[in-house]
Amino acid sequence: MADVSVDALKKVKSALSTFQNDISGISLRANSQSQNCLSACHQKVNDTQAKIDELNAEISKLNNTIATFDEQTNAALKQIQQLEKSIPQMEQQIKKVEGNISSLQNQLSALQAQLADAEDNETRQQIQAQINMVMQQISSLQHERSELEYQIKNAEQQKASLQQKVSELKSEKARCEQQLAITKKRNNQYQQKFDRLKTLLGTVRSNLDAYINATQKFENNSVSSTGQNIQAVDKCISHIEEYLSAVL
Amino acid sequence: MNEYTQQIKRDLDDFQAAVQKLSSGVKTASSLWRDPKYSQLSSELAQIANSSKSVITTGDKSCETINKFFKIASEEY
Repeated sequence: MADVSVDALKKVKSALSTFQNDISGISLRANSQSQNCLSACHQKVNDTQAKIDELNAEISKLNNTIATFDEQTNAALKQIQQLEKSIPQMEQQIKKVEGNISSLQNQLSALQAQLADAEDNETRQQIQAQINMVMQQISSLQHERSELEYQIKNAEQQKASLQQKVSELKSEKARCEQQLAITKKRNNQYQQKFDRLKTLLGTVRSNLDAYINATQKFENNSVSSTGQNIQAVDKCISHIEEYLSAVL
Repeated sequence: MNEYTQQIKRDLDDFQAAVQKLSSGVKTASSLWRDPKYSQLSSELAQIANSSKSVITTGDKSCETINKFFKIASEEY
């Protein structure tokens, strides 16, 4: 036996209609939100890949800089070696020149003694000519010695400057190697982050798919079910109203 | 929590509220509808409420992994 009022049925119809409205479009919203979310996730993965590329370029640049420092250091060390070889040779040359100067100075002393003893004018002129020649040779050798001393001093300065350059290059290389180690570590960390994000992106995608499917299933079932119920309630209301309006 | 999980959470809250509202709306008619048809309707609504759980579960699980993803994405070295 039926035991219901039109008021009760209207309340039920209202609740069902409100629910239908509330639920309508839920799967579309879930789908749209999922697409937006996945797009943002892909962007994060791409950003991380870009960071890895940037760090790889930095590593390559640092390796090139270190190689250049090595080349410059080796070139400077080679120059130092050459200078270290040439300085003793020049010192040896100075000793030889000084020996020659000393020998010529002895000759000069002997000639000056001969000149003092010479009596005739012709002999004196000949000795004087020899003295002049020896003095010219001494002067030339003294000039050669000065030139060699200057070259040694210059070579010593070059050597010191190159040693300073080597020291600076080694220090710069050490700084670059330190930077390289830090960059490699960061690159490794970003690579690990990239791998974790890629794995997690798969899980996010499958979880969102499950969510979309659940909302679609729920929406289809509940919209159909509530629709049928609303129709049934409407029918009940019209039957009761027809019954109530009947004139006996 | 990021903007994506905030949106999903908001929708899940609205969804739960809609299911709750349907249940309480139909219950208000219970004192004026005392025949077996009401029980049938009530039983159908219980099924709807039950199937709504999978929406909540999958939504919560999605939020959990999305939050985890964005937490890792925010890491800087």
